[in-house]
Amino acid sequence: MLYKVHHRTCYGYSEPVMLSHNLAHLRPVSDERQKLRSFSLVIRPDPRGISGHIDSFGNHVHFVQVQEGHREFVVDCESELEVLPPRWPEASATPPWESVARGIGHLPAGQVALAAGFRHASPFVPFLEPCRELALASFLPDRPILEAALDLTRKIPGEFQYSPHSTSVATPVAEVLRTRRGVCQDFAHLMLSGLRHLGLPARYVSGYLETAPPPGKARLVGADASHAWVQLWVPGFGWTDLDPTNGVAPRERHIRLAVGRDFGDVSPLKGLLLGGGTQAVQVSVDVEPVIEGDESAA
Amino acid sequence: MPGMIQTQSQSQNKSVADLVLQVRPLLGAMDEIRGPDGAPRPAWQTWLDQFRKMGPLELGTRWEEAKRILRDNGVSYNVYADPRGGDRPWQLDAIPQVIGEDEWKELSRSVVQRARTLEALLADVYGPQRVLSEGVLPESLVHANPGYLRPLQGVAPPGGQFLHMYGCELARSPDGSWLVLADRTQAPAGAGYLLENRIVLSRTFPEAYRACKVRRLAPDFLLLRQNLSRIAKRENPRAVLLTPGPFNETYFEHAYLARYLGYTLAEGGDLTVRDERVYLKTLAGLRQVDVILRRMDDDFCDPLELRGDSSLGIPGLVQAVRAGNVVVANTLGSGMAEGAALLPYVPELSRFLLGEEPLLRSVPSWWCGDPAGLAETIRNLGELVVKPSFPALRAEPVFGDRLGEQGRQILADRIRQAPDAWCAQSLVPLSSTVEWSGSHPRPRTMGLRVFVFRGPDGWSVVPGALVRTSAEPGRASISMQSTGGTKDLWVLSDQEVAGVTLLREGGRADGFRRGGIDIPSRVADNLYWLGRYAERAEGIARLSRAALSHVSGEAGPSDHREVGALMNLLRQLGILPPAPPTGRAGVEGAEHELVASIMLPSRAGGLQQTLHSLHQAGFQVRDRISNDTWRVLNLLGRELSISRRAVSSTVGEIISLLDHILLHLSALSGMSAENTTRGHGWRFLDIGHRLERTQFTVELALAALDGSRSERPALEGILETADVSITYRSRYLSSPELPHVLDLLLADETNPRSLLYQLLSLQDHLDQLPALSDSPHLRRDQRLVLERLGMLRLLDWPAFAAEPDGESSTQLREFLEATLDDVPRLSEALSGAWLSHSETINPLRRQI
Repeated sequence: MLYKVHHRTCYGYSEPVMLSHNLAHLRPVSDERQKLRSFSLVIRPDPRGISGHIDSFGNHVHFVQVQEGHREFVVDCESELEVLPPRWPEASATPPWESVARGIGHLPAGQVALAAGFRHASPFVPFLEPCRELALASFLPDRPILEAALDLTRKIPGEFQYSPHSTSVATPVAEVLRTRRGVCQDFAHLMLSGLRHLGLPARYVSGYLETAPPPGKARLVGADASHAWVQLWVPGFGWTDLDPTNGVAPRERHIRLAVGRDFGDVSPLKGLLLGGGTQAVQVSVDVEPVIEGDESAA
Repeated sequence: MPGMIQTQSQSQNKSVADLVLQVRPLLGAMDEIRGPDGAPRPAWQTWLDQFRKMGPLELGTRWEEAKRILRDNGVSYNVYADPRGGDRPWQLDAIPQVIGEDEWKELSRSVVQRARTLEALLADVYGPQRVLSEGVLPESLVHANPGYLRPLQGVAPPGGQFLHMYGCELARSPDGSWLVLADRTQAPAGAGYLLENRIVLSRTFPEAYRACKVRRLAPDFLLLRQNLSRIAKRENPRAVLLTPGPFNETYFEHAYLARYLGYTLAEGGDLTVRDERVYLKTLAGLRQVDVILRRMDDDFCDPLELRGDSSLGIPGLVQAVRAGNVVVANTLGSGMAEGAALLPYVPELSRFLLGEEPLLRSVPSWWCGDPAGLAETIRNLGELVVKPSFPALRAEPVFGDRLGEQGRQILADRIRQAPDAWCAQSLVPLSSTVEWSGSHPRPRTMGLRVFVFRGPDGWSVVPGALVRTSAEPGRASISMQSTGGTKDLWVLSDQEVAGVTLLREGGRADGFRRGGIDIPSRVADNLYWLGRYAERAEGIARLSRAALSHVSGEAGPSDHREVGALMNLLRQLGILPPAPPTGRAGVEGAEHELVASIMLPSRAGGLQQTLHSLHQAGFQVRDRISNDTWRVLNLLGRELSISRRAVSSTVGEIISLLDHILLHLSALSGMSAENTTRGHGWRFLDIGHRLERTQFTVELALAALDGSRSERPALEGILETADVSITYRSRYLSSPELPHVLDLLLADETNPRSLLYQLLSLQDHLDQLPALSDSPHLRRDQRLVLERLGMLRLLDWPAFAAEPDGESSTQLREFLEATLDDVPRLSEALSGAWLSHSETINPLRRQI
């Protein structure tokens, strides 16, 4: 599937900002399952410099520093990419989950850091008993790991209510457990807590989701949103995407931006300002499918 | 405790050495002072010889003096980080710990090997991670280690050097061998206390110090500094010591070390990153910083990439480090190597990374994340101390031998739930030394914190240690937070020791810049407010005292009018509420209201709050003000805390309290005039004084002018408040006349309290401040002062004297009111030009 993604973030400040340091995880991952064809990042006011590097998770990070006084800060991001369907293993043929939890410490060299490092609690993913119990209801003894994981993924939307404005960005998992509602990143954190508590390596994915318009209606520009889900390490296959918000295993409509232990490692944009007063922010995300050979669709 | 049972008379006939040798060591522990045969160990011989000539009385007298030095130098450990009274005086023992040269050499070699091992570990973990791929270190000890900072993965520090200061906690097992209790690779504390201990002890017992030929500390500090300069990118690098601020428990030491090394003491807010370089915000603008010796935990150092909730750090610092533009010592991320959980793995790390057999053993330790370690820990829980795997987990150690069966069960369950987070250590009975209690010696458990510094030619161990003692027999947990004492460690030398003067030697700049220009804007800002609060407190105290003195004693009708006028003045100045409270009226009501305004700490703008703000401003710049100044601020604080208790004081008592406060305040301004030599910093302090006095004098003048319209002016009280009644009387030999009072208050430049004097001083200060631009024109602050000066000089005094109620009176009033309006404008212009760098940083609102 071919996509054009337009992600625009616009901040307005009641007082001038004299200096700002920002860090962005906005460049989509490019790998064997997702080919990045083009990418552009435009920032207003014109920053003194944008520098980038690859972080320890393999994500592309941009540093943006604005040194002139400004009351508006706009980050405009456009990418064009191709998402290939995953080659899913037969879920019932994957190894029992306990063997993965036990064996993870003995992975061959090189894979240790890749997978085992994602078994631990992290700032947004504490180990909580209810998360473990939730996971254990799907991870029955000797059950194939992917089968159990898919079961858990499908169960979460039934147990928790998706409510877009119910949580702030940094909702503790404990609170989500209590209120039984949240947004995509809350469900991702919740599921990660359960999986990791069982000793399974799992990581957080930040990205976009192409949303289909209601039948008969035109697709609304900017109506899409940033999204978050989970990847579980399945031996012999690698990182397997699971979306607990929608209860599905992502195929071609999920576009990956970055991976990390939790939201804190990969938040699309964070920054620190000198000045600024009160802030207003507007975000619009537009995921537009491109029909190959029909570039005029934009 | 045995060994302590002695009567006073017995101990007085004996020498200190005799008494020390009589102390029975703690059970099961090695005796530091005597060998197995009961004879003193050879290393102690010289020290004991020296103290054979000294009795406990003389030791006591000398030690009182030492305690005074410690107190006066403000040596403290800020236990609860409370700005008011949280400082605990530093506990130093009169008896040093002594170690012979050969033993020290061997120990040094072992400790340096340990430093090299941990250095190699950091280089590997932040580099190729062979210790993980080869299975030498369990991955959890890296990935679940809060000290492992992922943003630093793959970042090579300048010169490839991770550690510059390494602290090693050592203690001695019953067989006399040294054991490592803990490694400190983050930002080891204690080196400054170590210096202070040495200075005090060598001053108090110069004969013993000389006779023992004690090795000097200073050379290693010089080497540390030389190396940091050498690996910095630029010639003549600028270095700062980064502190979390005055609320940190070891702030005293940060300020002390910064002075000792000649570094600017900087808080996170004093530094800013632009274009991947770090700058110090100084009065003269931004100045690039090349070296940051940090005393802040690394995860707090950059809220952009590390802990986002840190308000102490410098946004963008990690990026500057990545670009190689700044040396941070120790390197960000080096805290990874200091968890107690790593102890069992150090021997194997030494073999794997260095190819060397370890020379130094750790205290027997187990990590519960390892199944065998967990089993061993659970099995022997009663003989172990259980600790968190990493210091960032901030859990207290639990001593298994103090728990009952049930307690051990609970602990075991807790460990099993999160085995990675726990480790255990054997409870080895640590060696026993002797501490002087004030009248006699007593046995104490001992541990050392030894410091390894990196110099241009490699590692060296500072010949000395911060010795920690504990009253608890044999306990391994000897922390800075606990209430134990400290000792100096004397490393004996076989050769004559060159007479190095510590502070001189350490403080001489080798190419480092110093001087007033490098004053961070924050410091100037605090000094400015220190000046303003001091002056405001003085004004309030003077005015209140004047009013109270008319209330007390045999008050007549004229006094009543004075009181009324002074009360009005107090209201205009905002010291008293705008309207008198209903109820008591007249002089009695005034007395009641005055006493409340002085005694109630909650009264906004009142004396207590102003003095509190004064103390706070002083506290923030403790490293910039002299010890004497700080002591006066402390005395003021003490006056207050005493007065707060005495709610029902009499007018006489309150007047005498105000007398005391005024005396301290005048000592304070005297010191700022005579003892502060820090160029621009002092100017800001004095600008604060002058600006506040400008406001106060103008208010007084306005009150005098007002009074002339209604009742008899409170001129006596005003002269008294302005501290010029004697001048007036000697000059005019008559009761006060309005024009002459105002002339003295405003236009007499020989009067240091006159408006003219303040404006001239301000003009001079503003002209002397560093140029901010090449513009040949006056700045706004200079224009404001110049305008006031011109207007003041143009006032028509003869006309006013001839007709005090006429046209010229209106002119005068307009001038005074305009001047009053200009005070906040001037303050804003000043902060806009120089102090604006001290703004706080806000996070960008985050979006999902």
